[in-house]
Amino acid sequence: MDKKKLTAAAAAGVMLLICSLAVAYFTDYDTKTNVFTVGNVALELNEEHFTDGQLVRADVKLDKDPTVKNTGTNDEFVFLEVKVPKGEITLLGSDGRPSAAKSLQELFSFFGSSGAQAVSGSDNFAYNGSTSSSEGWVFLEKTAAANEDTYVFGYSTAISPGEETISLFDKFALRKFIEEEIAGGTKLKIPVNAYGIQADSLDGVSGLTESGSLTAQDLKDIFEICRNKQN
Amino acid sequence: MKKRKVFTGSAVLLAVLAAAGAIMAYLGASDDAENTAEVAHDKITVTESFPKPSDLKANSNNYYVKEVAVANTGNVDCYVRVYADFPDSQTTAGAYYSADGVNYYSAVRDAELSGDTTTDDNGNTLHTQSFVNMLNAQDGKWIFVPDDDSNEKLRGYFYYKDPVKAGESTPSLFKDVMIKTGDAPEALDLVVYAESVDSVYEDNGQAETYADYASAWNAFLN
Repeated sequence: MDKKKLTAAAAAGVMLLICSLAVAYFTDYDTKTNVFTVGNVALELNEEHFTDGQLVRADVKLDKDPTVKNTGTNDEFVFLEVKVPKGEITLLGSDGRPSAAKSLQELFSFFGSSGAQAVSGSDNFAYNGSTSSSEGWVFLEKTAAANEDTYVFGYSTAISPGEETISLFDKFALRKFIEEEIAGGTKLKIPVNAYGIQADSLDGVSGLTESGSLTAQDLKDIFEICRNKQN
Repeated sequence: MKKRKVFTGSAVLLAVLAAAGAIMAYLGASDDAENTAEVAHDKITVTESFPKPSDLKANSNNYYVKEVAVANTGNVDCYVRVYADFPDSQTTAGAYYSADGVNYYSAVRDAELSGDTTTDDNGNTLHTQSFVNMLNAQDGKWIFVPDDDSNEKLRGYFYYKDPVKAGESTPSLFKDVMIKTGDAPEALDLVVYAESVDSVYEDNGQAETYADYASAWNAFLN
Protein backbone atom coordinates (compact mmCIF):
# COMPACT_ATOMS: atom_id res chain seq x y z
CA MET A 1 0.00 0.00 0.00
CA ASP A 2 1.46 3.38 -1.01
CA LYS A 3 1.56 6.35 1.35
CA LYS A 4 -1.46 8.15 -0.21
CA LYS A 5 -3.82 5.20 0.25
CA LEU A 6 -2.59 4.61 3.75
CA THR A 7 -3.29 8.24 4.71
CA ALA A 8 -6.82 8.18 3.24
CA ALA A 9 -7.71 4.90 4.92
CA ALA A 10 -6.49 6.13 8.27
CA ALA A 11 -8.45 9.37 7.93
CA ALA A 12 -11.62 7.50 6.98
CA GLY A 13 -11.24 5.23 9.99
CA VAL A 14 -10.88 8.15 12.33
CA MET A 15 -13.96 9.92 10.90
CA LEU A 16 -16.09 6.80 11.19
CA LEU A 17 -15.29 6.68 14.87
CA ILE A 18 -16.13 10.36 15.30
CA CYS A 19 -19.39 9.98 13.41
CA SER A 20 -20.45 7.02 15.53
CA LEU A 21 -19.96 9.04 18.67
CA ALA A 22 -21.85 11.99 17.28
CA VAL A 23 -24.84 9.89 16.18
CA ALA A 24 -24.98 8.03 19.45
CA TYR A 25 -25.35 11.09 21.65
CA PHE A 26 -26.31 14.00 19.43
CA THR A 27 -24.45 16.26 21.78
CA ASP A 28 -21.36 17.45 20.09
CA TYR A 29 -18.24 18.04 22.03
CA ASP A 30 -16.84 20.43 19.47
CA THR A 31 -19.14 23.14 18.17
CA LYS A 32 -16.88 23.77 15.27
CA THR A 33 -17.45 20.33 13.82
CA ASN A 34 -19.81 20.14 10.83
CA VAL A 35 -23.46 19.38 11.82
CA PHE A 36 -25.38 16.92 9.71
CA THR A 37 -29.15 17.46 9.83
CA VAL A 38 -30.76 14.05 9.53
CA GLY A 39 -34.38 15.06 10.18
CA ASN A 40 -36.53 13.06 12.55
CA VAL A 41 -39.54 10.80 12.55
CA ALA A 42 -41.73 11.13 15.57
CA LEU A 43 -45.36 10.41 16.25
CA GLU A 44 -47.98 10.55 18.91
CA LEU A 45 -50.69 8.00 19.55
CA ASN A 46 -53.82 9.81 20.65
CA GLU A 47 -57.09 8.52 22.02
CA GLU A 48 -58.83 11.76 22.75
CA HIS A 49 -62.07 10.36 24.10
CA PHE A 50 -60.88 7.20 25.78
CA THR A 51 -60.89 7.01 29.56
CA ASP A 52 -58.48 4.49 30.96
CA GLY A 53 -59.78 2.08 33.58
CA GLN A 54 -63.48 2.63 32.95
CA LEU A 55 -66.08 -0.03 33.59
CA VAL A 56 -67.29 -2.05 30.65
CA ARG A 57 -70.72 -3.62 30.37
CA ALA A 58 -71.95 -5.99 27.70
CA ASP A 59 -72.83 -4.19 24.47
CA VAL A 60 -72.49 -0.71 26.00
CA LYS A 61 -70.39 1.26 23.54
CA LEU A 62 -67.66 3.43 24.99
CA ASP A 63 -65.46 5.95 23.25
CA LYS A 64 -62.11 4.77 21.98
CA ASP A 65 -60.68 6.55 18.97
CA PRO A 66 -57.00 5.93 18.29
CA THR A 67 -55.32 8.33 15.86
CA VAL A 68 -51.70 8.94 14.96
CA LYS A 69 -50.19 12.39 14.67
CA ASN A 70 -46.95 13.12 12.89
CA THR A 71 -44.92 15.14 15.38
CA GLY A 72 -41.69 14.86 13.43
CA THR A 73 -40.25 16.81 10.53
CA ASN A 74 -40.53 14.19 7.80
CA ASP A 75 -43.46 12.65 6.03
CA GLU A 76 -44.34 9.32 7.60
CA PHE A 77 -46.14 6.11 6.88
CA VAL A 78 -47.98 5.08 10.03
CA PHE A 79 -49.47 1.88 11.39
CA LEU A 80 -51.63 0.85 14.31
CA GLU A 81 -51.53 -2.48 16.06
CA VAL A 82 -54.44 -3.42 18.34
CA LYS A 83 -54.33 -6.37 20.70
CA VAL A 84 -57.72 -7.78 21.66
CA PRO A 85 -57.87 -10.01 24.76
CA LYS A 86 -59.56 -13.39 24.49
CA GLY A 87 -61.31 -15.72 26.89
CA GLU A 88 -63.42 -18.86 27.06
CA ILE A 89 -66.92 -17.46 26.79
CA THR A 90 -70.40 -18.35 25.62
CA LEU A 91 -71.55 -15.55 23.36
CA LEU A 92 -75.17 -14.48 23.74
CA GLY A 93 -77.49 -13.23 21.03
CA SER A 94 -79.69 -10.17 21.26
CA ASP A 95 -82.38 -12.36 22.85
CA GLY A 96 -79.98 -13.22 25.66
CA ARG A 97 -79.68 -16.85 24.59
CA PRO A 98 -76.36 -18.54 23.72
CA SER A 99 -75.56 -18.04 20.06
CA ALA A 100 -72.68 -20.49 20.05
CA ALA A 101 -71.02 -23.05 22.26
CA LYS A 102 -68.48 -21.87 24.79
CA SER A 103 -65.17 -21.30 23.05
CA LEU A 104 -62.13 -19.06 22.92
CA GLN A 105 -63.36 -15.69 21.69
CA GLU A 106 -62.28 -12.08 21.56
CA LEU A 107 -63.87 -10.20 24.44
CA PHE A 108 -64.47 -6.86 22.74
CA SER A 109 -66.17 -5.46 19.67
CA PHE A 110 -65.00 -2.36 17.81
CA PHE A 111 -67.10 0.10 15.89
CA GLY A 112 -66.22 2.74 13.31
CA SER A 113 -68.25 5.67 12.12
CA SER A 114 -70.92 5.52 9.46
CA GLY A 115 -69.69 3.42 6.54
CA ALA A 116 -67.14 1.57 8.64
CA GLN A 117 -65.66 -1.54 7.11
CA ALA A 118 -65.58 -4.92 8.81
CA VAL A 119 -62.38 -6.88 9.02
CA SER A 120 -62.86 -9.75 6.62
CA GLY A 121 -64.38 -12.74 8.41
CA SER A 122 -64.93 -10.82 11.64
CA ASP A 123 -68.27 -10.00 13.22
CA ASN A 124 -66.80 -7.87 15.98
CA PHE A 125 -64.19 -5.61 14.40
CA ALA A 126 -65.17 -2.68 12.20
CA TYR A 127 -62.82 0.18 11.33
CA ASN A 128 -62.72 3.43 9.42
CA GLY A 129 -61.27 2.15 6.17
CA SER A 130 -59.98 4.07 3.19
CA THR A 131 -62.09 4.38 0.09
CA SER A 132 -61.36 5.38 -3.48
CA SER A 133 -62.15 8.96 -2.56
CA SER A 134 -60.97 9.29 1.01
CA GLU A 135 -57.95 8.32 3.03
CA GLY A 136 -58.31 5.96 5.92
CA TRP A 137 -57.06 2.74 7.39
CA VAL A 138 -56.24 -0.45 5.54
CA PHE A 139 -56.44 -3.81 7.28
CA LEU A 140 -53.14 -5.65 6.90
CA GLU A 141 -53.15 -8.73 9.08
CA LYS A 142 -54.53 -10.55 12.07
CA THR A 143 -52.50 -12.97 14.12
CA ALA A 144 -54.02 -15.22 16.74
CA ALA A 145 -52.50 -16.27 20.04
CA ALA A 146 -53.96 -18.11 23.01
CA ASN A 147 -54.78 -15.03 25.02
CA GLU A 148 -55.16 -12.29 22.42
CA ASP A 149 -55.56 -11.52 18.74
CA THR A 150 -53.42 -8.85 17.14
CA TYR A 151 -54.73 -6.68 14.32
CA VAL A 152 -52.48 -4.46 12.21
CA PHE A 153 -53.68 -1.57 10.09
CA GLY A 154 -51.75 0.84 7.86
CA TYR A 155 -52.78 4.33 6.89
CA SER A 156 -53.53 4.69 3.21
CA THR A 157 -51.35 7.77 2.63
CA ALA A 158 -48.21 9.31 4.03
CA ILE A 159 -48.82 11.77 6.85
CA SER A 160 -47.12 15.16 6.67
CA PRO A 161 -45.55 16.81 9.70
CA GLY A 162 -48.25 18.16 12.01
CA GLU A 163 -51.01 16.13 10.36
CA GLU A 164 -53.10 13.45 12.05
CA THR A 165 -54.88 10.38 10.76
CA ILE A 166 -58.57 9.78 11.15
CA SER A 167 -59.47 7.42 13.99
CA LEU A 168 -59.04 3.71 13.41
CA PHE A 169 -62.39 3.12 15.12
CA ASP A 170 -64.59 5.24 17.38
CA LYS A 171 -66.08 2.97 20.00
CA PHE A 172 -65.67 -0.39 21.64
CA ALA A 173 -67.83 -2.61 23.80
CA LEU A 174 -67.55 -5.73 25.87
CA ARG A 175 -69.23 -8.56 24.01
CA LYS A 176 -72.30 -10.14 25.53
CA PHE A 177 -71.53 -13.46 27.19
CA ILE A 178 -72.65 -15.46 30.21
CA GLU A 179 -72.02 -13.49 33.35
CA GLU A 180 -68.92 -14.32 35.33
CA GLU A 181 -67.34 -16.42 32.57
CA ILE A 182 -64.90 -13.56 32.82
CA ALA A 183 -64.90 -12.68 36.49
CA GLY A 184 -66.42 -9.33 37.36
CA GLY A 185 -63.80 -6.79 38.25
CA THR A 186 -61.23 -8.31 35.91
CA LYS A 187 -59.03 -5.63 34.39
CA LEU A 188 -58.63 -6.29 30.70
CA LYS A 189 -56.00 -4.64 28.57
CA ILE A 190 -56.49 -3.51 25.01
CA PRO A 191 -53.00 -2.34 24.06
CA VAL A 192 -52.68 -0.11 21.03
CA ASN A 193 -49.28 0.49 19.46
CA ALA A 194 -48.48 3.04 16.79
CA TYR A 195 -45.53 2.80 14.43
CA GLY A 196 -44.15 5.28 11.94
CA ILE A 197 -41.40 5.23 9.38
CA GLN A 198 -40.02 7.83 7.02
CA ALA A 199 -42.04 8.06 3.84
CA ASP A 200 -39.16 9.09 1.60
CA SER A 201 -36.45 6.88 0.13
CA LEU A 202 -37.76 3.55 1.33
CA ASP A 203 -35.62 1.00 -0.47
CA GLY A 204 -36.99 -2.49 -0.78
CA VAL A 205 -40.56 -1.36 -1.40
CA SER A 206 -40.99 -1.12 -5.13
CA GLY A 207 -43.57 0.88 -6.99
CA LEU A 208 -44.40 3.39 -4.28
CA THR A 209 -46.16 6.41 -5.70
CA GLU A 210 -44.99 9.88 -4.80
CA SER A 211 -48.44 10.74 -3.52
CA GLY A 212 -51.85 9.19 -3.22
CA SER A 213 -53.01 5.95 -1.68
CA LEU A 214 -50.89 2.94 -0.98
CA THR A 215 -52.02 -0.56 -1.70
CA ALA A 216 -52.40 -3.09 1.07
CA GLN A 217 -49.35 -4.88 -0.28
CA ASP A 218 -47.30 -1.65 -0.18
CA LEU A 219 -48.31 -1.13 3.42
CA LYS A 220 -47.56 -4.73 4.34
CA ASP A 221 -44.09 -4.39 2.86
CA ILE A 222 -43.48 -1.13 4.69
CA PHE A 223 -44.80 -2.51 7.96
CA GLU A 224 -42.44 -5.42 7.59
CA ILE A 225 -39.57 -2.92 7.56
CA CYS A 226 -41.07 -1.27 10.65
CA ARG A 227 -41.39 -4.60 12.38
CA ASN A 228 -37.83 -5.56 11.56
CA LYS A 229 -36.66 -2.23 12.87
CA GLN A 230 -38.47 -2.86 16.16
CA ASN A 231 -37.02 -6.38 16.55
CA MET B 1 -0.19 18.86 -2.30
CA LYS B 2 -3.55 20.61 -2.81
CA LYS B 3 -4.79 17.71 -4.97
CA ARG B 4 -3.92 15.24 -2.23
CA LYS B 5 -5.98 17.25 0.31
CA VAL B 6 -9.03 17.28 -1.97
CA PHE B 7 -8.77 13.55 -2.51
CA THR B 8 -8.40 12.86 1.19
CA GLY B 9 -11.33 15.12 2.06
CA SER B 10 -13.62 13.43 -0.45
CA ALA B 11 -12.75 10.01 0.82
CA VAL B 12 -13.46 11.06 4.34
CA LEU B 13 -16.85 12.59 3.43
CA LEU B 14 -17.88 9.43 1.59
CA ALA B 15 -16.88 7.35 4.53
CA VAL B 16 -18.86 9.56 6.88
CA LEU B 17 -22.00 9.41 4.73
CA ALA B 18 -21.76 5.65 4.40
CA ALA B 19 -21.30 5.25 8.11
CA ALA B 20 -24.21 7.56 8.93
CA GLY B 21 -26.46 5.65 6.55
CA ALA B 22 -25.53 2.35 8.04
CA ILE B 23 -26.13 3.58 11.57
CA MET B 24 -29.37 5.48 10.95
CA ALA B 25 -31.00 2.97 8.58
CA TYR B 26 -34.64 4.14 8.28
CA LEU B 27 -35.97 6.75 10.60
CA GLY B 28 -38.83 5.37 12.64
CA ALA B 29 -40.85 6.02 15.76
CA SER B 30 -43.46 4.32 17.90
CA ASP B 31 -45.87 5.07 20.68
CA ASP B 32 -48.18 2.87 22.69
CA ALA B 33 -51.10 2.93 25.09
CA GLU B 34 -51.93 0.08 27.43
CA ASN B 35 -55.65 0.86 27.78
CA THR B 36 -57.30 -0.92 30.65
CA ALA B 37 -60.99 -1.62 31.00
CA GLU B 38 -62.61 -3.25 34.02
CA VAL B 39 -65.44 -5.73 33.69
CA ALA B 40 -68.49 -4.35 35.47
CA HIS B 41 -70.31 -6.58 37.90
CA ASP B 42 -72.96 -6.21 40.54
CA LYS B 43 -72.17 -8.31 43.54
CA ILE B 44 -73.70 -8.19 46.98
CA THR B 45 -73.48 -9.92 50.29
CA VAL B 46 -75.97 -10.10 53.14
CA THR B 47 -74.31 -8.63 56.16
CA GLU B 48 -75.79 -9.90 59.38
CA SER B 49 -75.21 -9.29 63.00
CA PHE B 50 -76.51 -12.56 64.37
CA PRO B 51 -74.98 -13.73 67.64
CA LYS B 52 -75.34 -17.44 68.31
CA PRO B 53 -78.93 -17.70 69.53
CA SER B 54 -79.90 -19.26 72.82
CA ASP B 55 -82.46 -22.09 72.82
CA LEU B 56 -86.09 -21.14 72.50
CA LYS B 57 -87.86 -21.12 75.84
CA ALA B 58 -91.39 -22.40 76.13
CA ASN B 59 -94.22 -19.92 76.66
CA SER B 60 -91.89 -16.95 76.31
CA ASN B 61 -91.08 -13.99 74.14
CA ASN B 62 -87.64 -14.98 72.81
CA TYR B 63 -85.62 -12.03 71.61
CA TYR B 64 -82.70 -12.35 69.19
CA VAL B 65 -80.41 -9.88 67.55
CA LYS B 66 -80.55 -10.34 63.80
CA GLU B 67 -79.51 -7.21 61.99
CA VAL B 68 -79.91 -7.67 58.26
CA ALA B 69 -78.39 -5.33 55.68
CA VAL B 70 -76.98 -5.71 52.17
CA ALA B 71 -73.50 -4.61 51.15
CA ASN B 72 -72.59 -3.81 47.57
CA THR B 73 -69.26 -5.54 47.05
CA GLY B 74 -69.23 -5.13 43.26
CA ASN B 75 -68.01 -2.20 41.21
CA VAL B 76 -71.31 -0.77 39.97
CA ASP B 77 -74.29 0.79 41.70
CA CYS B 78 -77.11 -1.72 42.00
CA TYR B 79 -80.64 -2.23 43.25
CA VAL B 80 -81.16 -4.89 45.89
CA ARG B 81 -84.08 -6.87 47.19
CA VAL B 82 -84.35 -9.21 50.14
CA TYR B 83 -86.48 -12.21 50.83
CA ALA B 84 -87.03 -12.93 54.53
CA ASP B 85 -89.52 -15.38 55.92
CA PHE B 86 -90.14 -18.12 58.41
CA PRO B 87 -90.67 -21.70 57.29
CA ASP B 88 -94.38 -21.99 58.04
CA SER B 89 -97.41 -19.91 58.87
CA GLN B 90 -97.61 -21.19 62.46
CA THR B 91 -94.13 -19.90 63.25
CA THR B 92 -94.80 -16.69 61.38
CA ALA B 93 -97.91 -16.07 63.48
CA GLY B 94 -95.76 -15.86 66.60
CA ALA B 95 -92.85 -13.94 65.09
CA TYR B 96 -92.06 -10.24 65.16
CA TYR B 97 -89.49 -8.00 63.52
CA SER B 98 -88.08 -4.83 64.98
CA ALA B 99 -86.24 -2.06 63.20
CA ASP B 100 -85.39 -0.15 66.39
CA GLY B 101 -85.10 -2.79 69.11
CA VAL B 102 -88.16 -1.49 70.95
CA ASN B 103 -91.13 -1.71 68.62
CA TYR B 104 -91.84 -5.21 67.35
CA TYR B 105 -94.22 -5.74 64.44
CA SER B 106 -95.90 -8.94 63.40
CA ALA B 107 -94.18 -11.02 60.75
CA VAL B 108 -97.60 -11.89 59.34
CA ARG B 109 -98.12 -10.17 56.02
CA ASP B 110 -101.69 -9.11 56.37
CA ALA B 111 -102.76 -5.61 55.49
CA GLU B 112 -105.87 -5.99 57.60
CA LEU B 113 -104.04 -6.33 60.91
CA SER B 114 -105.01 -3.70 63.43
CA GLY B 115 -102.74 -1.17 65.05
CA ASP B 116 -103.13 -2.54 68.59
CA THR B 117 -100.11 -2.64 70.84
CA THR B 118 -99.12 -4.32 74.06
CA THR B 119 -96.08 -3.97 76.23
CA ASP B 120 -94.40 -7.13 77.43
CA ASP B 121 -92.31 -7.83 80.53
CA ASN B 122 -89.14 -6.68 78.75
CA GLY B 123 -90.62 -3.26 78.12
CA ASN B 124 -90.87 -3.83 74.41
CA THR B 125 -93.92 -2.79 72.47
CA LEU B 126 -95.58 -5.50 70.44
CA HIS B 127 -97.62 -4.32 67.50
CA THR B 128 -100.26 -6.44 65.90
CA GLN B 129 -99.70 -4.43 62.75
CA SER B 130 -97.52 -6.29 60.31
CA PHE B 131 -93.92 -5.28 59.86
CA VAL B 132 -94.34 -4.94 56.09
CA ASN B 133 -97.34 -2.66 56.48
CA MET B 134 -95.44 -0.52 58.92
CA LEU B 135 -92.55 -0.25 56.44
CA ASN B 136 -94.79 0.75 53.58
CA ALA B 137 -96.68 3.24 55.72
CA GLN B 138 -93.41 4.93 56.67
CA ASP B 139 -92.52 5.31 53.00
CA GLY B 140 -88.83 4.99 53.80
CA LYS B 141 -86.03 3.53 51.72
CA TRP B 142 -87.11 -0.06 52.35
CA ILE B 143 -90.43 -1.12 50.93
CA PHE B 144 -92.26 -4.40 50.71
CA VAL B 145 -94.22 -5.48 47.65
CA PRO B 146 -97.15 -7.46 49.08
CA ASP B 147 -98.32 -10.80 47.83
CA ASP B 148 -101.42 -9.31 46.24
CA ASP B 149 -99.65 -6.49 44.41
CA SER B 150 -100.63 -5.98 40.79
CA ASN B 151 -97.01 -6.34 39.80
CA GLU B 152 -96.86 -10.08 40.19
CA LYS B 153 -93.15 -10.45 39.50
CA LEU B 154 -92.11 -8.19 42.33
CA ARG B 155 -94.29 -9.75 45.02
CA GLY B 156 -93.00 -11.08 48.30
CA TYR B 157 -89.70 -9.19 48.52
CA PHE B 158 -88.33 -6.25 50.45
CA TYR B 159 -86.87 -3.68 48.04
CA TYR B 160 -84.38 -0.96 48.77
CA LYS B 161 -85.65 1.92 46.69
CA ASP B 162 -82.35 3.63 45.88
CA PRO B 163 -79.40 2.14 44.07
CA VAL B 164 -76.73 1.06 46.51
CA LYS B 165 -73.43 2.59 45.52
CA ALA B 166 -70.42 0.37 44.93
CA GLY B 167 -68.67 -0.24 48.22
CA GLU B 168 -71.61 0.95 50.30
CA SER B 169 -74.31 -0.83 52.25
CA THR B 170 -78.02 -0.43 52.87
CA PRO B 171 -79.28 0.52 56.30
CA SER B 172 -80.52 -2.53 58.15
CA LEU B 173 -83.89 -3.89 57.11
CA PHE B 174 -84.56 -5.01 60.68
CA LYS B 175 -82.39 -5.41 63.73
CA ASP B 176 -84.12 -7.83 66.03
CA VAL B 177 -86.52 -10.72 65.93
CA MET B 178 -88.87 -11.97 68.58
CA ILE B 179 -90.39 -15.45 68.62
CA LYS B 180 -93.36 -16.04 70.85
CA THR B 181 -93.50 -19.70 71.80
CA GLY B 182 -96.06 -22.12 73.16
CA ASP B 183 -95.66 -25.22 75.30
CA ALA B 184 -93.34 -27.19 73.03
CA PRO B 185 -91.24 -24.90 70.81
CA GLU B 186 -89.32 -26.44 67.93
CA ALA B 187 -86.18 -25.27 66.20
CA LEU B 188 -86.89 -22.96 63.30
CA ASP B 189 -85.15 -21.08 60.55
CA LEU B 190 -85.50 -17.56 59.33
CA VAL B 191 -84.50 -17.62 55.69
CA VAL B 192 -82.86 -14.44 54.41
CA TYR B 193 -81.38 -14.01 51.00
CA ALA B 194 -80.77 -11.06 48.72
CA GLU B 195 -80.49 -10.37 45.02
CA SER B 196 -79.14 -7.45 43.04
CA VAL B 197 -79.47 -5.89 39.63
CA ASP B 198 -77.21 -3.34 37.96
CA SER B 199 -78.71 0.14 38.02
CA VAL B 200 -77.48 0.71 34.47
CA TYR B 201 -78.66 -1.11 31.38
CA GLU B 202 -77.76 -1.16 27.73
CA ASP B 203 -80.11 0.36 25.19
CA ASN B 204 -79.06 0.52 21.58
CA GLY B 205 -75.42 0.52 22.56
CA GLN B 206 -75.85 3.28 25.12
CA ALA B 207 -75.66 3.03 28.89
CA GLU B 208 -78.95 4.08 30.43
CA THR B 209 -79.96 4.31 34.08
CA TYR B 210 -83.15 2.75 35.34
CA ALA B 211 -85.71 5.26 36.53
CA ASP B 212 -86.39 3.40 39.79
CA TYR B 213 -86.17 0.07 41.54
CA ALA B 214 -89.41 -1.21 40.02
CA SER B 215 -88.31 -0.63 36.43
CA ALA B 216 -84.93 -2.23 37.16
CA TRP B 217 -86.46 -5.35 38.64
CA ASN B 218 -89.20 -5.59 36.05
CA ALA B 219 -86.60 -5.46 33.29
CA PHE B 220 -84.45 -8.02 35.06
CA LEU B 221 -87.31 -10.41 35.69
CA ASN B 222 -88.77 -10.19 32.20
